[in-house]
Amino acid sequence: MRIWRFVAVVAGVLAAGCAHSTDSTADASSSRYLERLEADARAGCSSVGARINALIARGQFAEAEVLIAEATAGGLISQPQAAEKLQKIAQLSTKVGQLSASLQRAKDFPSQLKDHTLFEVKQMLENKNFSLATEAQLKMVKKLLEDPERVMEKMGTVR
Amino acid sequence: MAHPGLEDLVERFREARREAEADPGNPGQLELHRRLAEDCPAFTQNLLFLAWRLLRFEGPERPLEDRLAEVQRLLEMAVLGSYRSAPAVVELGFFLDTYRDAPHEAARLYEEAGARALETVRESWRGLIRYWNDERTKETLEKALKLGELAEKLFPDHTPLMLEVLTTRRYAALDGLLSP
Repeated sequence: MRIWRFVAVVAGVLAAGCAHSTDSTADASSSRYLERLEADARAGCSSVGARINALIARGQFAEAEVLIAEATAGGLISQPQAAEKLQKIAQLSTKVGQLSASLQRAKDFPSQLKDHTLFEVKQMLENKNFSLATEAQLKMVKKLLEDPERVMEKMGTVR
Repeated sequence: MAHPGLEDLVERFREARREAEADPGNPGQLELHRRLAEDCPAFTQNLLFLAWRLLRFEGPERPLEDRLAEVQRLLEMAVLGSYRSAPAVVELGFFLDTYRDAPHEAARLYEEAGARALETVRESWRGLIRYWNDERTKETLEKALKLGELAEKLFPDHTPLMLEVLTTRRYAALDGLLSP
């Protein structure tokens, strides 16, 4: 398949050139914590970003937010990257009951989940915990909560 | 006159394509594309197709500069009407590069088209990996792991996609496909 060969080539090129510049913009007040972050950043491609993602994926949002603030202040991640991560945290913290009323009237909508967040729904799926809702209901709610971002500002890839 | 229906336009485009395959050099099918372009200048796929076919097949009786001017106009219309879609932008780039000796402007267009197209790749991969995660079988998780590695190289800074990749790894670990 041609497309996969193309993609593999592109990935190779990008991987080769992905050592990020780690010119420090941190000032003298930067903590050792920041220095460690910078060392991380030098060691691998955007590993601070990866670490923040790992925290978000585990639901450790408060820790993730602290790290985002530090990394942004130290110039280790850009403002748009920080905004994207904060937006993702906000999204994962959104409760099922915050979906628009018309969506909540959808057939088979699990209104018993209304006080649960997207993160909790994802955990139920992860642990195959179908005691509150069926697998299909959990998946439906997950997609509905994940996709408003498409409709809200950017429409996904459509500009 | 009422605007022709969308399905009708696409059918006419298909017909012109079919004729082009059967008889590539026939000027008749250029006419089909041209009439279609007049009826609906916003149908950009037809404009792109017409532009390149015109260059290749129109006879030498028409001066080259005339033909090039028409090709450029068609490509610019395609860029405008598609709101700068990647395929239209990249085609205009190649035209300017080759026929207008404008490699720098072309390079900017290649960059723009590449960035646009990559966004589409990124979103497609996120959807695909999410689908494979949702299916959560050995086969689909293996596919997701593989694409996830590539995604990590290509889009390390795109949080939503990276989180989907983490979900794959979490599932794979829980389901015994990866050591946790």
